[in-house]
Amino acid sequence: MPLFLITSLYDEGISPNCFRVVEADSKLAIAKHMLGFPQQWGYFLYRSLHRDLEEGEFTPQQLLDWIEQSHVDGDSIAQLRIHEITVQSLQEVDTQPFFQRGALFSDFG
Amino acid sequence: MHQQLLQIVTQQFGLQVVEQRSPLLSPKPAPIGRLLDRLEGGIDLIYPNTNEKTRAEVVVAPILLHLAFTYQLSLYCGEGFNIDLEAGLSGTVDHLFSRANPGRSTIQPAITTVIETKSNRYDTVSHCLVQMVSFQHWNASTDIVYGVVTTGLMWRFLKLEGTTVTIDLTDYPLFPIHELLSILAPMVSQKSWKPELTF
Repeated sequence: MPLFLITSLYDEGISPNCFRVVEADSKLAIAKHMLGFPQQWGYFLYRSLHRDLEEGEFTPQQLLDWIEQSHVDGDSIAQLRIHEITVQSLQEVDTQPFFQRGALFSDFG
Repeated sequence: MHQQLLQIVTQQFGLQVVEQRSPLLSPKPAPIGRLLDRLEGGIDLIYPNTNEKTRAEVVVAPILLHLAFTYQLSLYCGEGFNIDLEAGLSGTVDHLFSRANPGRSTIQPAITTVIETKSNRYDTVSHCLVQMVSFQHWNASTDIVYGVVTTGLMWRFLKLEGTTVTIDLTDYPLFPIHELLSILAPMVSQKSWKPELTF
C-alpha cells in the first residue's frame, strides 16, 4: 500500500508534532478519512482552517483541493499537504530540486 | 481546538488560568511622538484578509520600535531560541522585549514581554503562553513575563507570574493609540529585574 507524508507547516519549521506518515490507497482516501474522523485530524485541520470542520462542508475532493491551496502565513496559518512518498536506499538519494507539482519558489533559492 | 491546546499547555506546566476584564497593571501615560504619523500610512493596508507579515511590519513593529526607543529597551524581532530542546521549548518568536539597554551585549538578557502577531485570531493565546513559559525558564526567575497577542488592529494581554497566568479578556483596539500605549508601556518598561551579567 502506498505511503503518504502529511505535513502541517508554519514558517517556524517542522517538528515531530507536525507530520504523520500513513498507509492509504490514495490522497482521496486520506481526505475521506479526515472528513470521517475529524477528531483524529483536528489539530492539522485547525492549524490551516482555524476553526472546526463543519459536517458536510467539503466532499473529499473539495477537501483535497482546499488542502493543496493552503499556504503558510507566518505562524497564523499552516500549510497542509499530503505527499505520496517512496522509501529509497541511501545509494538512490538525490536531493536536487526540480520543477514539479507542489514545488515552491523557495525550493530554488 | 484552541481550548484543547490551552489545556495541554496549562496542564504541562501546572498553570492556573485567571480571566479578568480589566488591565493587568495600572495604565501609564506614554509619549506618542510621531507614532501616529507612521501608523496612518500603514493602516490603510490592513484588510480582514491581510497576512501576518504585513500586519507585523506596518502596524505592530512601528509601535514596538517606538516603545523600544522611548524607554531604551532591547527589541528582538524573529529571533530563534532553543530554551529547552528536550522539553520542547524552542522556536522563533515574533517580537520580544528585554530590559537590557540596546547596544550592550548581555549573556542572557531578561525577557519582559513576548509579542505574537496573528493574521486572524488575537483571542488564541496558547501559542503566546508557551513562549511566556519558555522565557520564564530562560529568565530563571518567577518574575512576571507579559504576553501580547495582536492582529495589529486588536490587542489582547496576558501576564504570567509564577504559575498563575492572567488573561485580560478586554478587546483593546489600535485606536485611540494613547490608550493602547498606556497599557503596553508599563509592561515593556517594568523595572523589577535583578542586575544582569554584562560584558
